[in-house]
Amino acid sequence: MKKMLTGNSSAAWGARISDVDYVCAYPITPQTEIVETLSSWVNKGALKARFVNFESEHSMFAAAGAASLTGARVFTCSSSQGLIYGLEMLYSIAGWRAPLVLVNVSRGLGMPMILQVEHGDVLATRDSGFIQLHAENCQEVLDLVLLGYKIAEDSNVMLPVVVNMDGFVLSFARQTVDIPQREAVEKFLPRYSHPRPLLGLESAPVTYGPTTSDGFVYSFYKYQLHKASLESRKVFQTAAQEFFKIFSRRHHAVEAEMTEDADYIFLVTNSYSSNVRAGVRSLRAKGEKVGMVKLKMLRPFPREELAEVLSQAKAVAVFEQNLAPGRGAIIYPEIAEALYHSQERPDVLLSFIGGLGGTPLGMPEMEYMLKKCKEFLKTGHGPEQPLLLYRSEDWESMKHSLSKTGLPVSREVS
Amino acid sequence: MKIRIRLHGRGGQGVKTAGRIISTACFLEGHCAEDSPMYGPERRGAPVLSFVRVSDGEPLEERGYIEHPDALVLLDSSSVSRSSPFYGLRTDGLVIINAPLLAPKFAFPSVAFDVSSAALRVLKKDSVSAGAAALACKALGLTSIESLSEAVRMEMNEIGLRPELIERNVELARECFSSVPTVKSFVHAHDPSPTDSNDESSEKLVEIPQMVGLQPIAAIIATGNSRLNETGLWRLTTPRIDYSKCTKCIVCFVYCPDSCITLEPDLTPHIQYENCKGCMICATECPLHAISEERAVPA
Ligand code: SF4
Ligand code: SF4
Repeated sequence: MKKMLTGNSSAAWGARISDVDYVCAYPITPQTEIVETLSSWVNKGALKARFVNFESEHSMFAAAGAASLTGARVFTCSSSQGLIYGLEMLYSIAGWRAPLVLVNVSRGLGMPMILQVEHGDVLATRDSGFIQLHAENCQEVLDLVLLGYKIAEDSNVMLPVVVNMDGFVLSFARQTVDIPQREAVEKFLPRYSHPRPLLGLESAPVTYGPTTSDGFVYSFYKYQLHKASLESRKVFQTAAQEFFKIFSRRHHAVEAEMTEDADYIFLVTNSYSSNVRAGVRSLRAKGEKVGMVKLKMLRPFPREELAEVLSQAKAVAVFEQNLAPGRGAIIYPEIAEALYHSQERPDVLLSFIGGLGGTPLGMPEMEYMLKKCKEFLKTGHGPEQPLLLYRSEDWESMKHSLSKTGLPVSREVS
Repeated sequence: MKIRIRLHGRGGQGVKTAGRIISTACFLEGHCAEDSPMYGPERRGAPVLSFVRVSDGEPLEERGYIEHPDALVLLDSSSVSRSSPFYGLRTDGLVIINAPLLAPKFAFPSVAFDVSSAALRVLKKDSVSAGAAALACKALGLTSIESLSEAVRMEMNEIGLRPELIERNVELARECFSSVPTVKSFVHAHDPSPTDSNDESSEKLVEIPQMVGLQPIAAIIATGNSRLNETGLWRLTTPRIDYSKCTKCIVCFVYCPDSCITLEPDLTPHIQYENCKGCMICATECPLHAISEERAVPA
């Protein structure tokens, strides 16, 4: 059934057709529509699940993880400050090996406070043990929720999954989404059952998440977490193949487009992948040998696949919507590491930051990134990184805003 | 081919719903469609936008605001006088406006129909989203009247309208649809090359400087700057003081939630219309009933 759905309602549909048992909710813009939709379905009986609205994200995640251990299929979602508020629990959930799906709707982390997109929130969870999948469009949101449960609940994985979508640009934009039939979903995603559910039964006692004071114990379990996460790459591949057989849509951890003969490759995640694709097409129309790589899976990090598609290029421009002060962009160093041992590797690897708070990514940015790559290739000298993509008209508006703050004009550091 | 439509109106007028009706109608027609509302807090009466992108099947690889639309839909003519909605409109772009047929002349081709009057007659209220969407579907040759009607039903049902009100909205949409010509046929619509996708390449990027001192810290020390936010643009109703009745009791001054009533030394009150948002609290509180209500635009 095809329907016009926002990213948010697509996430809700993902949970609905996955037949979740338990929805843990705490509203936050731009995610609230997901929990509103689910609560109305639960209320009407369209979704047979328990819906609980919590007093905070921290309690919400705690309940989500615990419920998942009882053998319930659990769905939860958050965004930005809310996600960070519950961050402590995300490490616990992963440590409990609780296979649930969390949808994050990316929004910048204050200050200044903003509601629009930036990936600092979801990337802050990257080392928690969650598997991390990023969606380009509304259809992918739904697909990745389904795939998320499939991987999470695999007995070789047993890890929670976070599915990310961009706030506003995706969460509130409606696109055509194909909602699979229930029977097809049941075939793809059989009922979840936990091998040793936490049921409080005297006959089957179990403790999850015990305390230890021994490093060797701690190391053992942490390493198991790492290994399970790495294992999920294979599980993702198999699941994606099965997904294609049933639903005819393909998903890969790393998606390369127009890269066969590309000298220059743009690397991107999430919804701005669409802008980059349009840009790559139009640069190709002008005769530029460009291509793109979309990173759909951030954790586990698909380094081999990345190295394979990127090593042939002369230059790679890594576009990211996050900024780690004092470091730069967060994913860039991981790309560099992925390429380090390649026999062949690009001569130039540049880091670009843009789209922060929803600033545009269009032809000016695409042309600028390409130009910087070419200059570097030609001269052998690169700019200080990362390069912030900032339009002159935005700078004019910013100067105007500064003039209204009443603050004394500051000195520019040259 | 692709077509990008930007809708302008005011909070509460149904700008988002109009956008959704257009895109749902296009979806039902078999086109590829996408819609999104403006980001940020929507306030009643405040200028708001929504965006629709349509193609006949090519992927719509754009995100966010439409800066260079092929068509504008103006839900009321006040959006023309209060702010200029024409920015970025392509030179061959079309303006579709809810206005009497003697609409103001623009530098662009336009299609006008008095949706408000039709809505007052059919719905008994000035609720124009279905009608405005119908103008766009017809003027741009996007959909059949059947797809439009079905889209109105779906979207009005979505926002929880009663069935008989939904049907009256369908009636309004059909009337508007039949009342305007198709100016541009969808198939002949301006077909921008991908290079010209959503922004002009002339826009340059800059390296922003590093600053020291207080300015690089997000802080504001200027006072009284909420005045810079022209909340007067939100006004749907305008309070007018009848000075022949006013006793200068300053009750209105005390109650105005936005402090946009100033006093002369002799305590005569004056309303600052740049910021008066038209909440009419002053009129409610005035013990002498000296403040009357004037409609700024039909709402
Ligand atoms: S209507 Fe009256 S109370 Fe409301 S903002 Fe205007 S002046 Fe103030
Ligand atoms: S409340 Fe009425 S009477 Fe009193 S100052 Fe205001 S307008 Fe005049």
